[in-house]
Amino acid sequence: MVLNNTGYAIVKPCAQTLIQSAVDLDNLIDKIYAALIRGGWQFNSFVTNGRRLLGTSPQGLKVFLDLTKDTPFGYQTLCINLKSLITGIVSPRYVLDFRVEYSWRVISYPCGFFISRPGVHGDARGSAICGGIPRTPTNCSLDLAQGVSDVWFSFGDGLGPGVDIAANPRINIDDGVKNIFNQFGSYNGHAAPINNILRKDSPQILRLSSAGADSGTPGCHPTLITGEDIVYPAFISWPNPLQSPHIIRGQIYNAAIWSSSRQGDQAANRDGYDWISYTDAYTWGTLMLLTTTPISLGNVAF
Amino acid sequence: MSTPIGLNGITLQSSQRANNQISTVLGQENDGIDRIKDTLLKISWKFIEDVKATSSIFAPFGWGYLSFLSNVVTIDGTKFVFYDPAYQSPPSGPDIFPVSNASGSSAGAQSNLASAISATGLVNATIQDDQNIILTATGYGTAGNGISIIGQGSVSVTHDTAGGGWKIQSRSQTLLYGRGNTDRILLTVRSGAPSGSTQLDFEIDGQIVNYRMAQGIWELYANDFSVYFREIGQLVGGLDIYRLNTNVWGCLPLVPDNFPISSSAFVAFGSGFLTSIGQSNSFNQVESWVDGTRITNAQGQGGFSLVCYHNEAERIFDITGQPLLQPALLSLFVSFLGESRIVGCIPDAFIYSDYIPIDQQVFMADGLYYRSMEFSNSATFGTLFMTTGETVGNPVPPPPPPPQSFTGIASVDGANLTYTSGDQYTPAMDGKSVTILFDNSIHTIHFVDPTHLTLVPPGPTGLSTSIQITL
Repeated sequence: MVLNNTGYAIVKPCAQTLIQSAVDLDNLIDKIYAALIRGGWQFNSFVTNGRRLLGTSPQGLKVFLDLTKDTPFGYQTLCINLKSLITGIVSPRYVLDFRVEYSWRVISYPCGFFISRPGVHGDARGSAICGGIPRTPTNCSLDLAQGVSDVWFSFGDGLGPGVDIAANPRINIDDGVKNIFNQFGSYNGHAAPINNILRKDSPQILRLSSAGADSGTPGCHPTLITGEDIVYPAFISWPNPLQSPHIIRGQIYNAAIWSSSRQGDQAANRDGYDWISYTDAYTWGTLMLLTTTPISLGNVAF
Repeated sequence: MSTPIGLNGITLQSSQRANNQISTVLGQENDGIDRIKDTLLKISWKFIEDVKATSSIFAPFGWGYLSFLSNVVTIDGTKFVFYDPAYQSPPSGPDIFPVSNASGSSAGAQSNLASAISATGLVNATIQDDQNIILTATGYGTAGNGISIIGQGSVSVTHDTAGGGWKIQSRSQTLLYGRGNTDRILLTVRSGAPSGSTQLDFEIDGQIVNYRMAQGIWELYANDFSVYFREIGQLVGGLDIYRLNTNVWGCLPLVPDNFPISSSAFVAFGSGFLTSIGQSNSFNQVESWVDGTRITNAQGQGGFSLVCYHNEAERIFDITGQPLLQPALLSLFVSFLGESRIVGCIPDAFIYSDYIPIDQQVFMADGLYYRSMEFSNSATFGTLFMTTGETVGNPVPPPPPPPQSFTGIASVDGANLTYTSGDQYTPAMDGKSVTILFDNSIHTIHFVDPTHLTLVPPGPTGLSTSIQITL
């Protein structure tokens, strides 16, 4: 079967929350917590310095999200970890820097979330975190997903003051043009390996583009000559072990890749859905996210 | 979900493979040239004309030297010998052709020699200028190659006739599928010069790309819109699906008719170890055309490449650990956009997200059999598979019969087309399309009588041209 005509993976509800400001870090944490709950995450328990939420995908897969306050860089900041229910594997600790003048966008649905600061490409102190459970294939070209009990991914840009930002879907969709260390995935209780040298060995969203090797000035975008995008599923992949084939672990819900380079935070409508660009100005494509609950429930990814 | 518009791959089911059948070895080149022609004509390519073999001889041939008999040239064993009838009897002998040289001028001697050579019927001699005579074989296509020409003048050289072959043309997608690519490949396959080499001339949009095939055994893959030559034994690894080596490939991508271009094509080739491009070019090269604008040697991300799921370090597999199958989207540099864009897809092909050694695996997809044509085993791992027309196990469905076509010569004068030769016209042609091969323009026909048609829109004026009518 030649790969074609892949569908959207949809989960309801889908909520976009704009946090125009917060009076302090605790207030920001409360507002982000509320935004996640609004998207279908469930309160699970209190944990040290915060709360634990539970995300559940339509396929019944689950992941914990710990929303806490901590001092990883010597000052208090918002922290998010994802954690496997099966083996307890924990993602890196992602951070969001707090300033009174900052605003935030949170897009959430029952098994995923995308946080960013409108107009901000990236910040080493932390401005963007995303993650969740992808839809695993069940019945089509990527068939035979048997026995999947645990699969989730997470990204964040903040590696701390004085450090370059980490690769994440806010600035790139695939291999990353920035530091690694922060891309993470868990599949059936096994953590995605992290390769400190080969960025392309780390978890990423697949990109469709020229087979030619990357160059500093590529001179092309993977779009049709008409200027139209190729729209394709946001497949998340990583190898295991290192330096082995990238395996597609699933398709990110309520998302798609548009093959053109777009500015972040731009609203659009396509196929009757409301979208916003999460990726900001990446040559090879843009991760687009649903911003509203679609009227018709799709979930026809595979 | 939205999909690449019309780019999911069309299976033409017209593919043919001529494996181990194309020899360019010295002494076998005529047979190889004929096999290339025959393979392409088996599919849907159109025979245009034969190409006559040629040679040349040049002065001094002996004219002006009147006092002795002078053997000036030997053609296929026949010696053409000057004599002066005022002083000498015509020379005679089983292999001697006497040429009168009574005029006392070089021009007269040259004219007499050309007439004498033409009288043999083996070659036609044409005076090019006062120093040169062009010899054109009368034999059809490759039959005119290899006629021995031995110059006897002080600076004449031995130069057998060469260059004989065939001119064949691919279809236009507009005629066949109503799609957006009006280009055709006009391929001339002929012996090269000096004799012993085989030459391919790809003519696209009136521009010619030459490729001299190495002496060896080649295989050929072709379909309605693509012809691919590869020398067996030169299947080296490390080929790239965005840059090609040791082979030559002319292709018309399938262009959806809603794309804002009317034509596109490419010819990709490399020097490999033994071939050469023109005189000395030894670099890999891709010539591409978009809307008639030719771009030379733009490869990789900014030029010719295939588009697929990309990773510069690892293969990309699905969740079961199997490679992906993807449409073979083609990206070419588009001058009016200043960057490379997707212009269409490779017909009868797909991309497999792992590398498979060239020519060594038959793969079945969509009920057709495919063969690995190109691969990359580094940045963006992948293999380009193309249908080959081969049957392994279950038979491949037979190709659909090509549309019935009529060909001939006609005079075209605006809206009026008048029969000259070839197939006469029938009422069944009314409302069908005619292609005027002079400019590849396409017109709707209205039948008048067996020797007259009218054209909409009108064609060129005052033109005698080959035409092709497709029913």
